[in-house]
Amino acid sequence: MVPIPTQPAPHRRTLLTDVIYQDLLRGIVSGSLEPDQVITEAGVAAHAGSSRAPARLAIDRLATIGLIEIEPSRGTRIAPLTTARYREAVELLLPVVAESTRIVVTTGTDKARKRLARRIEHTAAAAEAIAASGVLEHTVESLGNPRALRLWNDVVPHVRRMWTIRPDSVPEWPPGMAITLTDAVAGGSGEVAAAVLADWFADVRDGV
Amino acid sequence: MPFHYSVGAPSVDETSSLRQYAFDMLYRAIYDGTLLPDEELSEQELVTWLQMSRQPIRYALLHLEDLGLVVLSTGRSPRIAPYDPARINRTIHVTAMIHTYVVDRITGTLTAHQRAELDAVTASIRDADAAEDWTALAEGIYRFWKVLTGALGNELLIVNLDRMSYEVSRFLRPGASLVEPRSLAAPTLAIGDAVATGDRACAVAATRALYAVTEENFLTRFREESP
Repeated sequence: MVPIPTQPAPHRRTLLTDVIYQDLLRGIVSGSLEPDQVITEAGVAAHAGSSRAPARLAIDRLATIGLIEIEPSRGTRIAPLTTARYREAVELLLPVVAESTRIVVTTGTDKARKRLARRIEHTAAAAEAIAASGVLEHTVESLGNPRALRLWNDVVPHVRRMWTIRPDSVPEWPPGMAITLTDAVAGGSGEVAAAVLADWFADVRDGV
Repeated sequence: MPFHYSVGAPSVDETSSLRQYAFDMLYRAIYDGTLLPDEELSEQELVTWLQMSRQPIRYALLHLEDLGLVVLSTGRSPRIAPYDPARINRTIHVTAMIHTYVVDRITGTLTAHQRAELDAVTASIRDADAAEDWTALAEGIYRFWKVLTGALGNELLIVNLDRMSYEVSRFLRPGASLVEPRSLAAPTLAIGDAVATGDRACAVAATRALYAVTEENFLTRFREESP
């Protein structure tokens, strides 16, 4: 007997849009799609082997999060890479990461906190910290608020992009800070852990 | 409200205008309750109502889906998103984090102009509360946060807050299922007063107080379990 799906199938066009979206996102973050580069719906569709509608939707979604710009006079372009936008992204991530940390550490089990502390110990650089597999994303995931994780995913590409295209912009991940953070996490001091990360993000925001 | 945010103005060709119009009309109908949670939408009825072809309407529906206002599934009619307390709580929880940060950053740094704007909007909240004009009160609270986030001047932050507010504001109207605007008046004014006097610790505490119930509900009811 054919099993009856219990959930309605996701809209098929949405899935194709997601693939195109992820593809464009990778290109933008890596710089292979360059800042200010002109792109077209037709070009994206052709590249993906799709009709124009899913390409258009993917482009619009990236425009919504600020990685593509659509202007009447200039057409559709990959967003410029600016320090201002990068700092805005860092600033927006600050409360999300800090609050996630505070709650995760305060309410976490011993085991969960030890796991998190180990992850911090194994993080040697800022780029690792904000990577998809990194400790900061893990913390936001552990909060258990999908909307917070979505915000993280919408904003962090701006930071990754800057650090990829301009490696001199990557900040320090100070070992002293990491130790303080690890201790706070292991000891269940959520407020302290949150404050340490907030301070780090603030320094990155201010270009310190 | 525009559905794409880009640093420049969105494209103004006719197709975009139709999509924009369809989006605005649908959003308004969802916001004011003309279209109810869970209501099914007939494409034919939408075509008749909006007086345009299906393409721009489908497009607007996809954008509304992205904002959490519409549910699209293969083989079924589009539906207005149901009242989903979990989803709303989680969205307000994220809003709370950002608002708390904003208050912490801007208190004590307002320019004279920003102070004047803040005074004007808190006065309008007081007036609306006294007159029991709940629509004006909801409007005043919305503008209150616009003033504070505007003072921080982080465009990306503002855009992301706006996206979240699409989902939430339909349920914050007087008479809708969620929190009554009237209960937000006093806590919001407490934040405004603390910001106006430049007392950061007090302003942050007042913001936490405003969102205390949200956080409590998140932790006890709406938090997803970790794998």
